[in-house]
Amino acid sequence: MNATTLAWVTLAGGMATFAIRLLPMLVSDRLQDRPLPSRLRRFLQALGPTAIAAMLALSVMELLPTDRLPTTLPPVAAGLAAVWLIHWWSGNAAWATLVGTLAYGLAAALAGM
Amino acid sequence: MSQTATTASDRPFGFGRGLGDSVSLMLGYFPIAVSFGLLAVGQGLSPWQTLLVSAVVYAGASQFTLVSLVAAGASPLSVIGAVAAMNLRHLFYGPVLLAQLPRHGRRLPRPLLAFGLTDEVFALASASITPRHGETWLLGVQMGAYGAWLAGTVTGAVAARIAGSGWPQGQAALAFVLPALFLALLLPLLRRNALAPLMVAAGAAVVLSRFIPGHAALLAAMILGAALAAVLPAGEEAA
Repeated sequence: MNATTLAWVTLAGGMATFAIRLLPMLVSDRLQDRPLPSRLRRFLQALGPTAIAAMLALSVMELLPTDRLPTTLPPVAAGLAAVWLIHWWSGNAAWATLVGTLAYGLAAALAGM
Repeated sequence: MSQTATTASDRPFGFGRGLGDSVSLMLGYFPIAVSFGLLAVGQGLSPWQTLLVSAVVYAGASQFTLVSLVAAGASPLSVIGAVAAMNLRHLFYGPVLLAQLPRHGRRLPRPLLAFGLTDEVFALASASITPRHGETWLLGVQMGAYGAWLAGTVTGAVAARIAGSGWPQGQAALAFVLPALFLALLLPLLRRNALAPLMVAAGAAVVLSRFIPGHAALLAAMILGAALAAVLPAGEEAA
């Protein structure tokens, strides 16, 4: 793919992504004064937490290939435990993320990964 | 004195507070964007082309896919189709956040809010919004994340040009940034939400990802979990 085509593909991919994010917002703005049915409201309210839970599960599973579980599981467990501990102690997501990543990296190095 | 304190405590969170709250996203985005920069230049893109992809598409997984498909010689239409299909899950994000954001306060142009609506921004915002978090706060969160994404992309692209694409030790540790971020965002939600929909979403994502691509599994899993939350009796919504 030459440079010009790549630029067009990039712009088209960006426009498609932007449209997917924008159009539902515009529709939602138009409908905002209409009361939503209770179940639809609960469905929409739950989408955020369920998306996070699903993203967490998928991202953890990527780090746990079944054929290398004895090696990969301890660092992941150490990292998750560190996130939980720091979040419980500080309530700060940034610190919990940073310390959890450091704990994982340290444990992975010790495990020879 | 106490009146001033009350006024200050009632003031809505603005752009600066949003930038500050985006630090966890910056920590998560920077290393992933560095990886993207390394990969894209390693696959033959120039640093400028790599930056263009990050600046215009701004959607992590589909950017990696775009570069891989381009490197594999895929047709332009199939590349655009793959990028769009991978981002279909974003359809829900805008309406959900608009429903959560307070109606009062400054309203921003929707294109401005829509551009930066990534998975992680949505996750952070949906876990954080209270009546004091307005649209300018959300824009601050988005700008912090976008800045980190561009900075990481440039760093990775330049590093690939200077030192080649090998950075295995660092990348091994950085692979845990996203799981750590998602867990840190999920923990406060566990106190406010019923566990069953979250467990169903997580379990469905794991099972479905064995049969369908991860982005499709994510979309199906979040819908399944939210559908369960919708049919649960109202009293079981909060733990």
